[in-house]
Amino acid sequence: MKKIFIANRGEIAVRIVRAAHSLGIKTVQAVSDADRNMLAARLADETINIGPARATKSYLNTDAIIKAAVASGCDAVHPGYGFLSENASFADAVAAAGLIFIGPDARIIRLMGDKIAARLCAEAAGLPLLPGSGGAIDAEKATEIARAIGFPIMIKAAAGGGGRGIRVVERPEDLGAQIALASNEAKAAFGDGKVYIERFVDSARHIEVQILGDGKNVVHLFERDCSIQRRRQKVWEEAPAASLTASLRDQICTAAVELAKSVSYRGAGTIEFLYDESERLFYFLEMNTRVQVEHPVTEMITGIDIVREMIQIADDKMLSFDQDEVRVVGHAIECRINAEDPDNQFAPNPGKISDLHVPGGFGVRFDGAIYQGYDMPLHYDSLLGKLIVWGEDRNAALGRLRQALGEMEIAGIKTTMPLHRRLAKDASVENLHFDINWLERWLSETSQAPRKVEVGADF
Amino acid sequence: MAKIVISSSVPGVFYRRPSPEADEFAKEGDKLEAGTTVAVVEVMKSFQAIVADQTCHFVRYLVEDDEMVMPGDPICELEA
Repeated sequence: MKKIFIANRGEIAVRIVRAAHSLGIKTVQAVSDADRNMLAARLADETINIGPARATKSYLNTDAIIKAAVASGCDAVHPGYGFLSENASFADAVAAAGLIFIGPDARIIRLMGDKIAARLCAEAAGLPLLPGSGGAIDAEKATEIARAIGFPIMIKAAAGGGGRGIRVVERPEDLGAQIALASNEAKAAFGDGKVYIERFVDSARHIEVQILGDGKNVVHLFERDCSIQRRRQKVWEEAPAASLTASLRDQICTAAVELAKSVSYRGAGTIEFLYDESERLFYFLEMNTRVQVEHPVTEMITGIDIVREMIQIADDKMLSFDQDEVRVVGHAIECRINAEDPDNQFAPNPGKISDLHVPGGFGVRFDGAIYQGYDMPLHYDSLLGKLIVWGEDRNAALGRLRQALGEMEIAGIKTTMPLHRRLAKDASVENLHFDINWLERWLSETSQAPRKVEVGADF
Repeated sequence: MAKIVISSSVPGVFYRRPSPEADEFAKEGDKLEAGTTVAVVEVMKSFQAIVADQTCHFVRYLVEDDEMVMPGDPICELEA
């Protein structure tokens, strides 16, 4: 592999440029009209315009991307996360153009993208599932199954995932209408109206396992706890999951490897689970066939550069280590710093960064998309960057995080840093007293209820 | 009858309708209660609702669908 085309933007594009250059591979950065000055464009060897600001006409435009990748003489395409990263037709188109897609085969993306098919695949590999419909259902069948598993239940879209296309139904009499609504919504949002149901777990953690596969071997890089979420979007992530016992850690990581092995997985992937702490049971949720936003916490505790591994695997290299060589050292925490105002219902705050100071020192890392004078565009998601800290244990990591957040400065726009400063000092966070609903409750207790209408981000 | 002009509080892409296939949020003569959504502005992948702040009648939109707006740009005219 000699030259990678980066079909993404923001901080992940910067991350990919850095990984490629560290391997001596050249980079071509795709840019929309709104992104000519973004950091990845400054760092890449070349840039090429792929269209207007609107994502559907640029970063989601398969034809424009393939044309640009071929014209710029690239031999591989890295899709990042979001945009076309889990679009099987895009992976097919990359391969058809004679280029390497840095990710798993289109067949696997398609399989795991259909959440019903993925559920069946996980079941066949012996993974525990929440009681549910097992397949696509209509209102009549849903009523029968829901009666058996008990309310509340969740309706999920087969083409959803990442927290999108989910409805919680509390009462049996609402089920029929909610199924119809969910199906219509899924049809409109994803072009596929298939829905299924699962038992609703009230208090659970979101735990996910990072895996790497080369087509023959699969290893896990242990797990992350991503329970601190707002509107089903992750806000704060940690590795390892401090609430797991050694035996549960072993079970959940082994389960993830079993699933990846059953499909001869090639690339980096994440298997997501719900963990019911009171019952000490975990359930398969879904598999993401791409790099995750929160991959750095895993890198910090294992010393493995996940993006570099993705590139090597796509370049037909075998994994250079086996499971016994993957060790966890210490604890890592990541804060997603978004251009949103936490004191005003998380209103988006695009605009110019007038001043920037990024903390440094031992165990502190910032994976960002910003620089002083950068004008954060309003067309894309609000992620400015990720502050990641490492410590020899969780308390040391928290201490380092408080210090780093205190030092960090982003001026000119409102950011979620004040929220992270509060979280880093919060007793519930310190004592691991949180589940996937905790942050929303904490926010509503400490501020006014949000009023804004929102659609989910796509990663 | 007093004329009221509503402005966008955020920069973004202005939409007169909740989804591409749907009807416009309001048409001339519609009676609106306080809190009724008259438009949405898309910014950083989230949709900010623009609402009528009092009981009124809808007169007209001042911005085309799918156009960029900046904070303070007038987006529709109402009558109270």
